[in-house]
Amino acid sequence: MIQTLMGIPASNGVVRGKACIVVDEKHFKEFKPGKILVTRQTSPAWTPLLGVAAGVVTELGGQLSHAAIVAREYGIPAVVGVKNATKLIKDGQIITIRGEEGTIEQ
Amino acid sequence: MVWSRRWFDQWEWYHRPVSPMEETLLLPEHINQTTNLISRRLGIKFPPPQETWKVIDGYLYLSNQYPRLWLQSPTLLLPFRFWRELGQVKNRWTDEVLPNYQKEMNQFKQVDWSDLNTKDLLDLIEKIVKREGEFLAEAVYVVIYALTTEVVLKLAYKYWVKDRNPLNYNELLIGYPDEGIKAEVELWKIAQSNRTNQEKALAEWISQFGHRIQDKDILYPTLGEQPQLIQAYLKMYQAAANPEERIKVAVARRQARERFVEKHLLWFPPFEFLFHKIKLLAQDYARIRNSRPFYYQGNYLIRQILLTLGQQLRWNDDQIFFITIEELKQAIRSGSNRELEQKIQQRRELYEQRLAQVPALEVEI
Repeated sequence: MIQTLMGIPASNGVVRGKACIVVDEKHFKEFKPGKILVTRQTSPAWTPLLGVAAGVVTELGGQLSHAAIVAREYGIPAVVGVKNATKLIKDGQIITIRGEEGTIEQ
Repeated sequence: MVWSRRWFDQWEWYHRPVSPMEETLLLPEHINQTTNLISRRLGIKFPPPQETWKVIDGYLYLSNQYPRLWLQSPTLLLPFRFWRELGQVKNRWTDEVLPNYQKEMNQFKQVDWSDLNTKDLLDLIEKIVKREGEFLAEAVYVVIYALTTEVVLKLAYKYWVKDRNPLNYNELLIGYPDEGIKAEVELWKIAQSNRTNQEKALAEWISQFGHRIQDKDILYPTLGEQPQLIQAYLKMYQAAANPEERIKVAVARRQARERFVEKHLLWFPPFEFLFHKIKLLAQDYARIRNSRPFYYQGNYLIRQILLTLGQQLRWNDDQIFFITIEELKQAIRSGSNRELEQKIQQRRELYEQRLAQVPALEVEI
């Protein structure tokens, strides 16, 4: 059964791929290019990760947050404001982000 | 009184507990400078600091009474004042604020700390904090205009452009060069080069971009102080495409969106004229907004001076950030830091506990 998480549409596009949960900067080295970044919130330190990610999901933030602005700049789908995303999505899980609708399908 | 963190998820700063040094040395000056600047330019009067912001359980909160700001008589003149400033703010930022700030920061960087005693070091810190506060106030002021012009563009796009997805307005604001892109491109090039050239190139990159703040709180090291983080970036970039290619795609998307607007803008000459004006303003401000983390240079200097003072007091690592500025001055006067060591340890443990918690969205005190 497909479970759908709802959030705020932040950057258009659809991507399906493996989620990589990164909770802080100490775990940046675990992030591999092409994965979907799932985190609590981003800041300028996270910009290089967004540059190599296939998509972004954050727990906090709105359409003018850092993750949203950078994701749009980089043309990757993003959904922000997804409550408990880092707990509900498992590391390595295949998910589909629909940026325009603000949904994540597990 | 109710204190709120309602808007914090939109910002990149202060997601984590505030360190005692940040709370006592920088926050009061910086918030004060910002509210004073907004008052001077836009006429809005802010309540006193104790009614504006507060650190509760380690986290920064703002008063939820901010709608009251609209209930004062100067608000009647706000649209005119805002409009009057609209064309000036970005020019002032690029032609006066940035060059003057850079000039003063360069002077601060040239000071030889080894020649200064502790009193002089403290004076220097306070001068840099004050200057950083003035700069931060200008940066916040510019962001107010950046946000406003983006919101106005969003509304204009929604109502005047025939588009199934009104969020597509975002594509009109992408693809402009900024300091962040520049830093990424240079780091990517270093990641592609062979190891013998990397060390020198990386040192130059750090001297140019390393002062970037990762978080506003003075506790947090700047980018250049985190070699492991930079190595993680380098490793990522070895397998990634050149960021310049990404920018070319963003430029193409923006140009395609501009062509779309030309075809689908509601035909009514005043709308066309206004839409283009709004679009140009929003684009100018978007460029300024995205570069801001690279402009703040004071944190790096303040950190280095504080760490130097910490070493003089025989403290390790970041212990100095877990005391207040008054406690630091007292420790320097008395020449003794023993009574503070236990406090530092307790505060650090409390900080770690709070870091693991999610702060309440609103608190009533």
